[in-house]
Amino acid sequence: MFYPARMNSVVIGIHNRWLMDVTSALHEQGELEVLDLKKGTGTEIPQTSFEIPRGDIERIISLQFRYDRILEILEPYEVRPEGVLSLLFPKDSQPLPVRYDTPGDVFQAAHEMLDQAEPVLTTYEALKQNRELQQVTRERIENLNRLAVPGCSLSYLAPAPYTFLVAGWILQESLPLLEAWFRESGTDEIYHHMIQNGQEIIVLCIGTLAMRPRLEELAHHAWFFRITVPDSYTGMPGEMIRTEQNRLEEYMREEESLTAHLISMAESHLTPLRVIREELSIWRDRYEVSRNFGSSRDVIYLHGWIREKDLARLHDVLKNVTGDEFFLFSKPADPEDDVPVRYDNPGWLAPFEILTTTFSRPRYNEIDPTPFFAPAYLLFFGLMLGDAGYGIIIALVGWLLYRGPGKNDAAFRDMSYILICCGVADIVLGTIQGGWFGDLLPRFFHVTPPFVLIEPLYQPILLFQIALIIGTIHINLGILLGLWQNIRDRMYRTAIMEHGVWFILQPAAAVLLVEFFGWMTFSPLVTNVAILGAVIGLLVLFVRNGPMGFFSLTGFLGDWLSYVRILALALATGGVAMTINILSEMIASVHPFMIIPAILFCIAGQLFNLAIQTLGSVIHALRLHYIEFFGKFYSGGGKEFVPFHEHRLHTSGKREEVI
Amino acid sequence: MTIGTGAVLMAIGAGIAVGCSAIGSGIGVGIVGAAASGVISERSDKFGMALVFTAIPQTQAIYGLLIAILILQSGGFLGGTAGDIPTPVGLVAIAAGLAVGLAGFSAIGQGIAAASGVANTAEKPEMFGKGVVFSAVCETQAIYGLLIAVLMLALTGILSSDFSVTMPVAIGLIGAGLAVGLAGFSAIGQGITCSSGIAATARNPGAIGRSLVFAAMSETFAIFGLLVAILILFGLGLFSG
Repeated sequence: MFYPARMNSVVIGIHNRWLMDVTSALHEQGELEVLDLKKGTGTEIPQTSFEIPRGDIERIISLQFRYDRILEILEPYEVRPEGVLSLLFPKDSQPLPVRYDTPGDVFQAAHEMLDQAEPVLTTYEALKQNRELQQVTRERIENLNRLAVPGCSLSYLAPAPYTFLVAGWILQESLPLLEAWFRESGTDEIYHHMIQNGQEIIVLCIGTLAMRPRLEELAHHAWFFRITVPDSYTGMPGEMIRTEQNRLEEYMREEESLTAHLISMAESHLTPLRVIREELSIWRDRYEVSRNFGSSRDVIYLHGWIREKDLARLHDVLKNVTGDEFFLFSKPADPEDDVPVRYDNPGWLAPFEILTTTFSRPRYNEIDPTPFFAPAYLLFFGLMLGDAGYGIIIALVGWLLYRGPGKNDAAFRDMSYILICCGVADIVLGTIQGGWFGDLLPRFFHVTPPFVLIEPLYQPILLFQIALIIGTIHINLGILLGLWQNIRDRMYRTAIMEHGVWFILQPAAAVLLVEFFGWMTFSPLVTNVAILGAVIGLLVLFVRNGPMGFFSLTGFLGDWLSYVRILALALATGGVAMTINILSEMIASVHPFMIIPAILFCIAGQLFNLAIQTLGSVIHALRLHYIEFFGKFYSGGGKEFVPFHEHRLHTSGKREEVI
Repeated sequence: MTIGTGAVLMAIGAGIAVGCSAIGSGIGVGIVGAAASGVISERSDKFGMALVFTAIPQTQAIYGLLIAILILQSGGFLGGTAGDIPTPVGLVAIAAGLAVGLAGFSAIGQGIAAASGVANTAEKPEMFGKGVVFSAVCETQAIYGLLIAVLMLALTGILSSDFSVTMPVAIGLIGAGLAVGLAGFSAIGQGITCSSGIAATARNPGAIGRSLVFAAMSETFAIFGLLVAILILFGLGLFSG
């Protein structure tokens, strides 16, 4: 687990009649990263591209498009539980025991499901049309209401033999434009009538038929909103408003019914639709991966990477599918090649890989720092936050997230696991620092916290010393790992001059500093050896790095002193929590009625401190690793191993589960 | 009850601690907040991420508040019993206030780096962790300031309400406070480097290691300040018990 998984390069040959069976089996197994054969295999394998069956791919794409459309319509109508509780305790959604062994089976199921889901499209179209009609009716009612203000009969709006009438409305601020238009129209044959209606002005303009072009020009202005009604409308607006309102209510009832139908179809159809959509994606992946294959007359060739320990299983899969009609060549990866990296950590450690990856994935032949990272990260986090009360809350939140959203999301699950671990570490290390929401227990309940070994606020010097000791151990572990890595790579000179030198410089500097500060005296022999060690160490440092050797020294010192942040953050957590408690006590002491505001203030303050100090502890524990620790031995930059595997969310795909 | 000069100076020390560090944090949060507002105007779903970056430069104000509370508690201010405290004790409080308060201006650099973090993470979500780490780099100066302030209060016995510190020691500690506090301004340069480091890492993820080396170089000057402050504490006999 201290190095990424050992990989093998493989070349597989199968008879072409086994193509889809082998592709499906490899997809199901999910342990092989398939490479493009055209880019070379380093063997004598012919590199002729394989022609994938276009018809099937196009059929899948077309079906996927239709399924996406239906899902896009139905998903907004899915009834989802609301609230925090449903987020934390989601309903178990077990993958369905479904799998299709051939593309033909999927196509048949896909078409059958599409037939069943056809009403979704018609219902949705009806709903869209209904909403458009509602919009038109609402606008019409608004306009009729406007016409009701001057009491204009609707029959006036109908075409007349000698006159032409334009009704409309403008916004108050457009009045100067309208007045300007009247002035510029240069005629007195247009009569107009204006009535204020809130922020609008209702305008009625009438003229002889000869004025029709001028009036229509007015109606085309962007600031003039013309009111039109169907020619069949007669009588006063009030009567028609009632008719339109009845029609609107009818539309709304129809909308309710259509929506209910869509909700019901979402409930019955969404799951099977998602299942088929997932199967289509899986089969599309299987077809598309074959672009990377090569072929001769009867043989299909595959090239890829696989973990060494998965080789035997790959052999078994090929044998099970093809009998003996295959060949498999494998060779261990050459670190000089661009070997993809797959972590090789046990399950309890694997979630922490995400923190290593955040910095950079290790290269193939580089130490994987995760096994060193995880325990030290928890130690630093616990010491920095240093409050058992906060630890309980963090662990509880982590557990709720693990049980809730973490069920269906691997990244969420890993983060929740890390949160639980951080919470537990904080409970342990917070207990020995006596932090229970700061000094809440002794201040308000006169309870002395148990198992206290160190109190940062009252023994800062002790925690300062502990932080520096931890820093010394951590940095030297990093140097030791760098030394080991270089020795393993047979880079002995680098090992000595970049890493070994610090094992001479550090003890020499320690002896000389301790003597300088007068904390201890040593025999002249020890002092002289320390001076000699320091001189040799400095020489090596400057010979190796030139003038930049100076920065190596200050950098080392800076890295070491940087661990003091453990003390700083522990003090900050305890100090701010204590301040909140003191202020709460002061509020409560004003009047007995102020006890409730004091409790609320205390809870809010502690939650704020929990949030801000947890953020600080997460960030600074990461920083101590990424900068101080990784800087000694780790550079990263490895390529991710991306196996060809099925992405199943709604289906189990397990043969034994299928009924 | 007589309020002595020492108590007055302690109050000033608490004021410097929280006031200066709050200015630093305020400017830092302002810088990253402006970038965050720009980001969420385009991408409102990035609010949570932007909020985390905006919170990062607040820590300096918390350190300042912490030292102010420790000073006020030691001086009996919180219990309403601040009395005739010797003048040297007040000067030590001012020294501690200068150390943590001036170092709090490192939040400006942190704000510059965090602003870059917000902008780059909005485009590339995978940059979140790296952006946060680059932003955290600039907090070292504030931590050095806090460390020296705590050492001053602890080693002179003020934290345990022992007010026997002498006047020469107290005046000398102001030098230590200035050394580590003013050196904390190096974080502004470091913030500029970190800001570019985040942009460089977003373009080329392999550049993170070397970018961190560049960023760490500005920290050298803060280490000088810290060293001088520790040497002053040592020279004044505080480490000899």
